[in-house]
Amino acid sequence: MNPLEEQARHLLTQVYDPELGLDVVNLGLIYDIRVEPPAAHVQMTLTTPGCPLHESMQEAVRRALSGLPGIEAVTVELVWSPPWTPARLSPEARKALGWG
Amino acid sequence: MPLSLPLGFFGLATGFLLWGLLLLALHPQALQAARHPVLLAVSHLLFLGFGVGVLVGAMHPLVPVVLESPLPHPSWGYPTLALWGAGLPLQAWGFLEAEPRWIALGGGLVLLGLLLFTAHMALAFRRASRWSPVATALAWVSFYLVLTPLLGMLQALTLRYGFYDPERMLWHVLAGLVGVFLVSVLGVGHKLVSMFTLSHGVDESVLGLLLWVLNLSLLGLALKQPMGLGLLAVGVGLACYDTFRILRHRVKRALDVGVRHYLAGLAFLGLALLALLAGQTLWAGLWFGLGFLALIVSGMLYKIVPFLVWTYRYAPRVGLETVPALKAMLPEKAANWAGMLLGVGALLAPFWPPAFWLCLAGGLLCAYALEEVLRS
Repeated sequence: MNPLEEQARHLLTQVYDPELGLDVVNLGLIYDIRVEPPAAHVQMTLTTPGCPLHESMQEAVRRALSGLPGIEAVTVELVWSPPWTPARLSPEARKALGWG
Repeated sequence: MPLSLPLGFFGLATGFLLWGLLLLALHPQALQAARHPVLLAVSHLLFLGFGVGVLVGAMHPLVPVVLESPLPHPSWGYPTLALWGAGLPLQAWGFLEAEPRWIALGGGLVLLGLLLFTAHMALAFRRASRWSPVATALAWVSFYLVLTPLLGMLQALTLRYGFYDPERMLWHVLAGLVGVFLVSVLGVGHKLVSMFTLSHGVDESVLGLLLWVLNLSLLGLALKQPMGLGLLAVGVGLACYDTFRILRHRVKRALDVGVRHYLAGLAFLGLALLALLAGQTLWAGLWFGLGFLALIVSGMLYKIVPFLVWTYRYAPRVGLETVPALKAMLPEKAANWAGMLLGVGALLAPFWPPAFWLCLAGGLLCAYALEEVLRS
């Protein structure tokens, strides 16, 4: 992971799911980040297909990465395979959800 | 979809709830006669006003989520809102004043609104990207939303023009209570409780079976077959089992205010069933309406209203600045007190008429909590 991708991952920790109060990185929703200026690409999922937040979350991820230096275009790809499972939660997220 | 559409339904529905509870608190003697004008007005305000208002308002944003496809004509919701919102007070006032023309006019307007809503939902169901038992539940609900007022209108017309049969009133009541409210609350509840608790890996097979059982129980009860009540008991048991499975597979350990209201409402559903089995119809009706329905619907409003307001007000700012979580938008203490007052009031109402004032206090606190969400 190059430094810009590290920075992108850090920026995505500011994108919170409003229902759970946890960010998309710790929730394990981010599958892949590629930053090759002037473009950035994120592959992500949601906890359930048809999640009512899908538009908000995709747009929020795009907005967050628009702040990266040298980035002019951000594409966010929403995928359902492999499906999200609770095993993707970080230890911090697990603790915040009451299982730590 | 504009925020004003679901919020318009929720606001009017809350107003109808308060009107109905106030009438009950002022005239508890109305419960002594099944066809008392106040009881007829109250039952329509609580079920057709509060219950149906929240249901129709919530289905506008929920159906696209369940079907994974947008509504074909979201703007059709406004004439539905206007027809229902204008018709129901006329109908309730007609009952209170024993004025059949107002009842017919108000009921007719509500029926037109619900026909338009069901036509819209039928178009949405035809465009569904994904079908599931939750979608089946919503399709059944749309059907019963039209059948129930049609049966009510049939009663009103036959009373005026002949061929009146008081037994048919049971069909109207059953279509509403079982067809609209049990199917919608338990069907939508499966989806919403799963989302609120981040439950994972629970299939929808129990819900599919539950829908069969509820529809067959409705048929049995309408035909006065003993198996109808037995099937209803099986349905309530299946609903409890389905909720238990969802909670056992939850990822979010703490149960929030909406889920706690849902569980309390299910407990009231069990009580209402026991009362029905014991032949205590009035107790069953009070625990169903004020316990099961009012608690679950208000609990769902505590989740749905913050989500809708957040989506319109804060979603465009996520990723750029810190925005509040949904939990922070609701005054949870007020919501908890509202639930407790409603619950205790509903529990005591069959034995102690002043308990309706507790229900009214709970309704007022619920309205305050929702109003605070709008101001957040």
